[in-house]
Amino acid sequence: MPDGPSITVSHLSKTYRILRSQDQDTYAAEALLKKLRPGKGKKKVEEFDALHDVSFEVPWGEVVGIIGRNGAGKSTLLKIINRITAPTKGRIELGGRVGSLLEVGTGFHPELTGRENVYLNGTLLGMRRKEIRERFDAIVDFAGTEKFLDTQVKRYSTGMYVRVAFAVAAHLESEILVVDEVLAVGDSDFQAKCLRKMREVARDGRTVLLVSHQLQTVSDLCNSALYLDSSHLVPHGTVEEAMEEYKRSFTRVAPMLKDAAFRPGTGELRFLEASVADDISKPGQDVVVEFTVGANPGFGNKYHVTCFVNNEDGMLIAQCDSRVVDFWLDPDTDASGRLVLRTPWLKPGAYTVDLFVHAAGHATDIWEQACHFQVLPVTPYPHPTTPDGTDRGVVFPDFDYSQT
Amino acid sequence: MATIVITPPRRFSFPKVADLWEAREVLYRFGARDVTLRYRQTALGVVWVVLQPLLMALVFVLVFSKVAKLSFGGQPPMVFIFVGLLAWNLFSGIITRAQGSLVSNRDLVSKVFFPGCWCPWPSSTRASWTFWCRPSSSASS
Repeated sequence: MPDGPSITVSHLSKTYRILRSQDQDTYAAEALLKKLRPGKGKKKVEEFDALHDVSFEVPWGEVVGIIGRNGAGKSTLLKIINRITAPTKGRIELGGRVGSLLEVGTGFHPELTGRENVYLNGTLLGMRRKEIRERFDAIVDFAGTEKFLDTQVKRYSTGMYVRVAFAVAAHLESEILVVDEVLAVGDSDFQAKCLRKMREVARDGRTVLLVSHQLQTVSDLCNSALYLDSSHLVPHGTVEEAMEEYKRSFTRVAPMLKDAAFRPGTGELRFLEASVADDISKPGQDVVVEFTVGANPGFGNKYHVTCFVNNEDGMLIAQCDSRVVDFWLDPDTDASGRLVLRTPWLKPGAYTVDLFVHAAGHATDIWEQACHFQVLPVTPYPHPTTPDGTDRGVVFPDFDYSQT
Repeated sequence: MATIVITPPRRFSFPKVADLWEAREVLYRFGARDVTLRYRQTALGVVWVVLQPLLMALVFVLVFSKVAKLSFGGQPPMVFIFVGLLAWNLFSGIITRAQGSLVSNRDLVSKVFFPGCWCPWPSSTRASWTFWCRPSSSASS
């Protein structure tokens, strides 16, 4: 690999211009007419910074995890590095070809056979015909779909589809590999294979950029991490520090969001207060969330609420939408409600609860981390064993065995 | 190894010739894809390339020569109409296919880096492929 860093990003910004919808021109002619009419051509444009003054360097042979909450700008960053969108300001220098695994299987055509798609996809990713021919066997072997090479891809299962797509991208000899949240697919065997492949890529001295919400993957695989917080890059050091920062971000904004003015949503109906009945509970115990939504007389429509329960890693464990149990509230008076979550049994740890009010197809209030609670480290099962009997999985299942 | 530099685009930015050249194989693959797909899963396969305009010409001959009794300037009506049809098909094929090409390849434009301005070209490959196939195969028949 050449000297110097593999990726140098300096003062990178990306600004999107959002047009108010009524100003949107449907036809080019309409846009032209507006331009010609003096005075009225000014459009109201809101600017939105997806990335703001981001600078960093990545040395060769590093696996870099990019973490951050939804909408922090992770995917925008990858898109710019991939040259799918152009930056608004700043400069990026890349020390070699970029191979991307942004969306697995883009460019796959369902009517073509596996073989044809490997060639098509490889070409799209920037491989020469000769390169693909040389690696064809390795690709097929990696995907494990030899038997179905001449079957049309539309007859493949999703798993096979993804495996073939990943295999092609993994065999691209690009100096920089960009991976966005693709490991969630495939069985554990295949996931392990992908992880191994990425480590291999890094050992060759190439660079891997990985976006993931699964902190487990990041800490397993990466030797450095970037933490993006609402389009800013937060200075950091090791993977652990970045991950700490990420986890802290959840608690940091919570107090501010108590004030409805800081919360997103259209605002016609807002939560006045919300709390968890028992902020320290045991696994298997009911989680009770109590909330009050302010009145908006004359608003008309009945509305419903949604509650998300997230674990420490920011993973959404449960969605409780009141529509599915036919629970609706009336906007004419203040309305209090209570949610009882009986299963799943939550594992020990800290949890946060996000609350939403939905009316007439809009989210009128989005209150992330409205409340939080702890689950104590005890087991809900009648016969406790060593931790390896219960420490896998995200929640404790309520299950039974019986001989038949 | 060449360093790739990404900077904000200027007001009028054209794709770099080098980038286009790099992606030339995409053009070939897309063209091949479109041609294969057109005739896959049709009962007669590639025979359609010749059959379709021949049948079309036959209809025109029946209508204009036999029913409307137009004059073809002393040329055999079948040849006269067939030649005209081929030229028209080439033109209309390229135009109609190219129109929708960016939208129908939306996934590629928004998710994979490749010069978007290549999109309309494969459609024209398909139209011209059918164009060149026809005279040669009908000449031999």
